[in-house]
Amino acid sequence: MTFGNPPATGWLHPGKLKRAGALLSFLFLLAISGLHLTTPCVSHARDSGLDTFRRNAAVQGLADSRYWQILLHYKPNLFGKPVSLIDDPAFFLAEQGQSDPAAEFDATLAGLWQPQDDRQPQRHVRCRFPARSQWLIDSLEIDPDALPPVSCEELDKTLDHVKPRSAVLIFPGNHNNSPASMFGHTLLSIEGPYRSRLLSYAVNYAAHTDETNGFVYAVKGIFGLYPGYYSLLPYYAKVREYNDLERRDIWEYQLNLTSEEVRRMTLHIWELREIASEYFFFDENCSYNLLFLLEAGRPRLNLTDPCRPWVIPIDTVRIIEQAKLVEQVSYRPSKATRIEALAGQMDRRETDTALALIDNRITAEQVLQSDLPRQGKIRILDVAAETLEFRYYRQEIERNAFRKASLALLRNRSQLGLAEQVEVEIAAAGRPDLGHGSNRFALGVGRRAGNWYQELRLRPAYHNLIDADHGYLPGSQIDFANLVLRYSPQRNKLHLQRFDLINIVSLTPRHAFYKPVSWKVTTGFDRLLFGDRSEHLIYRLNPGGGVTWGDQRLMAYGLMETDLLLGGRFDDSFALGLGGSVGLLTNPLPDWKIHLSGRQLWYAEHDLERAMELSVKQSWQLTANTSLILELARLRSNAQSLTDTTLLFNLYW
Amino acid sequence: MDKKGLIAVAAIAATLLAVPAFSGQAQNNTGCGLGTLLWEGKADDSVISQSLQATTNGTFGNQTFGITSGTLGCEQPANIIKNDRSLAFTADNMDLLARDIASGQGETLYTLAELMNFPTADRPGLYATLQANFDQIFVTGEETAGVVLDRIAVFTL
Repeated sequence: MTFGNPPATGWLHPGKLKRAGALLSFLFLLAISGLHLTTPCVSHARDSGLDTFRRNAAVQGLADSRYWQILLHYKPNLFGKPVSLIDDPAFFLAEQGQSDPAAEFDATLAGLWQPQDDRQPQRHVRCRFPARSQWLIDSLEIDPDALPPVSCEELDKTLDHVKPRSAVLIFPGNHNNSPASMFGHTLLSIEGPYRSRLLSYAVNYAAHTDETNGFVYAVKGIFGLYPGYYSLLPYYAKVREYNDLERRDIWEYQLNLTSEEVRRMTLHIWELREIASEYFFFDENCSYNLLFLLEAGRPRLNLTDPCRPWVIPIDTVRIIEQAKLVEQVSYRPSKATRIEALAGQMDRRETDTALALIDNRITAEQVLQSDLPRQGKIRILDVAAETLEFRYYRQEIERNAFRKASLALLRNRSQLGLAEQVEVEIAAAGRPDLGHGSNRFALGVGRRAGNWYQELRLRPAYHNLIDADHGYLPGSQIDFANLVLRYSPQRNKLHLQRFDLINIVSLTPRHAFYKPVSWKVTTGFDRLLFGDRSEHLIYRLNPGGGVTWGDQRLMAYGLMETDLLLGGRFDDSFALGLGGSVGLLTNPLPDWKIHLSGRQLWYAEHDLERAMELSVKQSWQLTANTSLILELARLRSNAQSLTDTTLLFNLYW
Repeated sequence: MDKKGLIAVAAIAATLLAVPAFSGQAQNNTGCGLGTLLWEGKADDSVISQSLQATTNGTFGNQTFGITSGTLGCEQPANIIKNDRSLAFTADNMDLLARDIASGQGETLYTLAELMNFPTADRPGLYATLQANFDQIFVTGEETAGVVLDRIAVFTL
């Protein structure tokens, strides 16, 4: 897919162009004669002005033009007919506006000539839909003084407050231990005249609900049963929410939109205020909807024709980069990252002192009066203050206790002057948009129990423990709809080896100030070896929890696991297993990754009492989007065992 | 109980243990002073708010266009001379501001200096002065934004 090309190049065929030109001249003459004919009707002067512009609009084909489609979010449906993705009737002036661009255009144009209603002055089309109104006025060269006077108090107040000048694309990444943040998120921030980015305004598209059942929420969210709304809030509120509460690093991509383009975009955001549209997790999500805003700012962009049926936030960042919109990238480490960075600079004594301070075994005054070097004291008090806040946000301490402890720490901290400037180490994380593509296709060969096979893998999203970490969180895995097919030439048979609906692993190393739980959950189809050496496809739900130690270079983990298997092979069609796994994940060289793991599960089945798996997986990154993977596995069920070796070439896009 | 039943019970128990128990009961943290949270109702690590973020990056309620937030539920003294924006910013960022003043540096502090239109060249001096006088700005931790700004203003003269 290419961006920025006109969608239908066939339109520009010279013959077609000539014919279109002739038609246009004819219509233009018709319009002029129409104008001439209606001029004498003085009593309908206002309507006649409108009629003239109606005809001009028809001549120019404005109702079918690209910008009108952008502003109303029209997209062709299955039958090629334009339908707006927005379902809220309040977004349209014409009754059939959602599916009739021309009727909506006409109603908008007519609305410009409506006098402002004293009872609902802010509902006037020029106040409610300023981007549409402005575009009509500009395109048809309507003299604003000839229109009924309007004053848009609310809009003017907002514009005066935001003072739109430039825009930034915001990408809060995923956090290792939050299933929550999954694929990341995207929002925009509109910058005004201030130097500080904290004073910009965040434009966010999100689902709104008061649902308190997480499961119901997840299901309804995925199927678009909640309305999505745009919001405009101070960016600092979003920074604190993502950085501090959710522990997500934020990447900021400064866009090269001009102030005029940003102003147009802001007017369109205003039009989306209080407008509901169905929020679908996979396609019509936060990221996809933000692309409309960018198009409204710079109409020659063509971002909203997705080449995939799903949209992952980081992919929209890449789409925006390919459209050459990004000027500069900056990074805002989360509270967890900052604590980790501070902890990394502290020696044993400092760490112990800080822990004692956090646990109230010593006071901040004692730290201040100790014989530690000044920078050491600063580190101790800073890490304690960050950790305290962190615990307060997690509601592990009461507000009064937090205030008291916080004041004591800060009062002592204020006597120590400035800290050494230490940039948080971010090289290891890397820009998320420069990481491997989230789709993966793999082709390879292997040998299982002495038989050769060919293997094909297809995974639409997102990142596996063995994939290169650049731009991703080390120790995190989210495989979604991972399909593995095998073909055996000897038996001339193609079979499903594995289909993971979801396979999430979250390994977060523990350190002195933060002790997260590592966990995993896998569900999907898998081919299982039974004690009689037969293999059968089963459905599996396999959660687990445990701990991880180490750092990004070398992680060691241990997880307790349970395993629910469904299949006709079992007594009562199911089997339950209990056990655990241990593993090592390491990067001996930047492009070389090794994952060693062992797992043992016990079941109460005749031909499956004990299943063991030992594996060594290695990957070698060739380029940003290609790699080689070598997997060696030894499987054992009861007394039967076999070896499986696979060599794969991976292509990401 | 047969062996299968035993393993089933053990497996279910292990799963329940693996799911961390969260209360999910949000405290009332709006108001004034340190510890005032912007995301009340979302300030827990419960499975619910996690799922919220997972599926839709959702937020509770219907506050969609908040040009300023902050001062909600917080009584301000009547004689405030500060502009709305610095007042709202201070109220919303009290914890970070306190931490930046105590450290003598930080984005929240720089932002406030910009909002106060403090001359750029004199800012490093201001930061040092505020740091040295931290305990005169934050005394109880219950100060409103207006009080904090009034006390800061004393050092900007």
